[in-house]
Amino acid sequence: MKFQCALRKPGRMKIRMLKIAEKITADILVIGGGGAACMAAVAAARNGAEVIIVSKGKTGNSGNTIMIGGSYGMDGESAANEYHIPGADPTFTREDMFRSIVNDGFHLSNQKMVQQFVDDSPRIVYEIKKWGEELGETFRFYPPANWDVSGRSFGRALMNGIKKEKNITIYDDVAVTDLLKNGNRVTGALGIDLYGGRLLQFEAKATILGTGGFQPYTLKSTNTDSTGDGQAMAYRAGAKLADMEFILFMITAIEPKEYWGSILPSLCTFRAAFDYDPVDAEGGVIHIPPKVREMESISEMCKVLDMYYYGQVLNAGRGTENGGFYFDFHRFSDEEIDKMFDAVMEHFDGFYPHGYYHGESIIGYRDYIKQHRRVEVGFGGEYSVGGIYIDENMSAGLPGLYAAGEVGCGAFGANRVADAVVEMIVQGYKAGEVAARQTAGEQLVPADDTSLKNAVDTLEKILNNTDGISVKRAKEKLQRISDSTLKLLRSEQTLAMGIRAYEDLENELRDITISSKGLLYNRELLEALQLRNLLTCSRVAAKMALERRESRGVHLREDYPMIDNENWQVRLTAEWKDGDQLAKEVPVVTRIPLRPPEKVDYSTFVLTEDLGMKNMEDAK
Amino acid sequence: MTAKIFRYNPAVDTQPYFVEYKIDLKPNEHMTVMSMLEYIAENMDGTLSFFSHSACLHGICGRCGIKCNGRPCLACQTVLTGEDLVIEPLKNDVVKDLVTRG
Repeated sequence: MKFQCALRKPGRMKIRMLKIAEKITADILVIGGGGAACMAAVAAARNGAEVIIVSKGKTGNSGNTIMIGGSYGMDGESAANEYHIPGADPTFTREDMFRSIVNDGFHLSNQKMVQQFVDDSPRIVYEIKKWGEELGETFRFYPPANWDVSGRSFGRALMNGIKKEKNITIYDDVAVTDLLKNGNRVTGALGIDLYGGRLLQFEAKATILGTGGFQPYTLKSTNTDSTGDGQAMAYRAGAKLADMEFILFMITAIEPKEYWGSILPSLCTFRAAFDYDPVDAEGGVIHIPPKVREMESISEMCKVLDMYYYGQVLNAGRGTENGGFYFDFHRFSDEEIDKMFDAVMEHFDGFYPHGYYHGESIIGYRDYIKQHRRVEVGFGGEYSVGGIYIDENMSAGLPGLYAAGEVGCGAFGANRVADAVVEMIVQGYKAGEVAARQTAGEQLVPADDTSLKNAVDTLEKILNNTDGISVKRAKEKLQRISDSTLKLLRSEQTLAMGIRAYEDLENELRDITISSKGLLYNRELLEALQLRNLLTCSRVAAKMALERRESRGVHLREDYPMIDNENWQVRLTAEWKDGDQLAKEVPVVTRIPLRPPEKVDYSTFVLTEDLGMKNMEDAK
Repeated sequence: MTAKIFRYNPAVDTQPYFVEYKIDLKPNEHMTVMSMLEYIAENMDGTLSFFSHSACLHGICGRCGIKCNGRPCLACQTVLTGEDLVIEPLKNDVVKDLVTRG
């Protein structure tokens, strides 16, 4: 094949021409290294396919899967009656779970996808628990039918499941840069072997994306690999994105710096014994309704209300320089603070070494608080609800392309309802099963020359650019624009401004210039590619957020504070056709009808409706 | 403080060498070694490679392991004290600079 070579600027770095070092074929290509990807690979292998997993990080030890520090579970009815789990509470039925997901998702869920979640979760949750237990991993049970689990433990369980299958080959530390196509069909992908400095071309009958979410913010609690690669690659390839305006935030550590991005502060508030006074940058008390504070330990819905109330405080300019606020402890004695943290540690004793949450010392955090009497926290990006538009078979609408887990969307509507861990494993399994069965009799189709050339050209261009914006500057810009555009509480003015800023940055990114010109562990090249992907996701998210003139789920508008069930019980989709083409779509309804067409007050609705899935560890 | 960092790009270097970087550290800054490496890569030398492409930053994945003054440590969990540091790869199997296989 031939690649066009750009004219060489005199006195500049030598022009790079990249070659494919190796072409790797399989029946099914799975991209990603977390729960969705692992389960897709297992299911495809069980259905007779030769499978390859290509992961930017290490399979089973990457993505947001290893950031898990919570629980996963099934409905109590299945746990008690089908799996005979001691202590399971059968009064939390399958029907309850279905209804909760649809209600808590503010009625935007595709109910066929909710059905798939409810139907498939008991079997798959149970199997992964078994994989973990075979290795001696502990999963502490609490009713109705949930198990506390750490991300590393979950990752090890997944790898145990993968090892049981003969036909799965893993390519770790390979960053996929673009999907490859032939006409309308997705035929595989192009990737950089980061440790080998080589270009790899993958070819498969079907490609499954399990690449996780996107986080464009300065403050976030996710793995550094959550850069929206799957969403952006699929969008470039012609797939639709949807629900991108819905992004969940959690209260996240800002100080001490070594805790930056940890959700430990949120998790402290989930314990009934934990108390604090929220104060603003000037030390003024932030008034949060007592009912919301009470919800912290009993309902996931406290997260959306936190966004609602703190969003107003931050928009009023009361936040710190970092866009945060403080947990203040001046009115508590050392003994009282010790007691609060004893409760926090007791909770995590079940699944972490004593005194730790992940690698971070809870005792260290406690002692910092005792020393300073207040600690700065902020809202960090936690989960992107939107993603690739998929159906209940995880088909992404293009022949040969499937998506599962956080990279996709549809099951959770306008909110991250309960359990993203279960979402990724049930959808991953389904994607693998369907992809293997649907393509069993098909032949491999090679990528067409244009598709491959475009993908390689993108890399060559970044390697050869000169005098353009630096990676550092581009990253700072993207984060700063996202912080002020896709924030907790949005408005027409800030969104419109943000969209213009994203578009300007997009122009600058075309000339992004990096220091190293090789493919071998080129950190800046990878960052440049990731920034392009994050920017695509952010731009689409901002356009959807501007379009949605109401508040719903985890999309809140200062200028449209009501939930508008008259006009906005619809999902927004986007398709790239020489520009982002947005469209509205009525959610798929099977059993629970949409809400009456009226406008309702957001906080009243959340506080008075019976929301919040009844599967939280009820600490009160 | 000064960080003396192991550098080696097998594509161009015949043997490894060390480069010294001077960092202005504010008192009680609580900067981690990982943040320092990012700072150097972003402000002083964009060619510096360290494990960053799939990093949890919270002591979970264990993949940012390096040697600080001869001792194995996780870059994301090690807080700078102001003391000068020598930073080397954790293992001999060097991909580039501080990045090792595995």
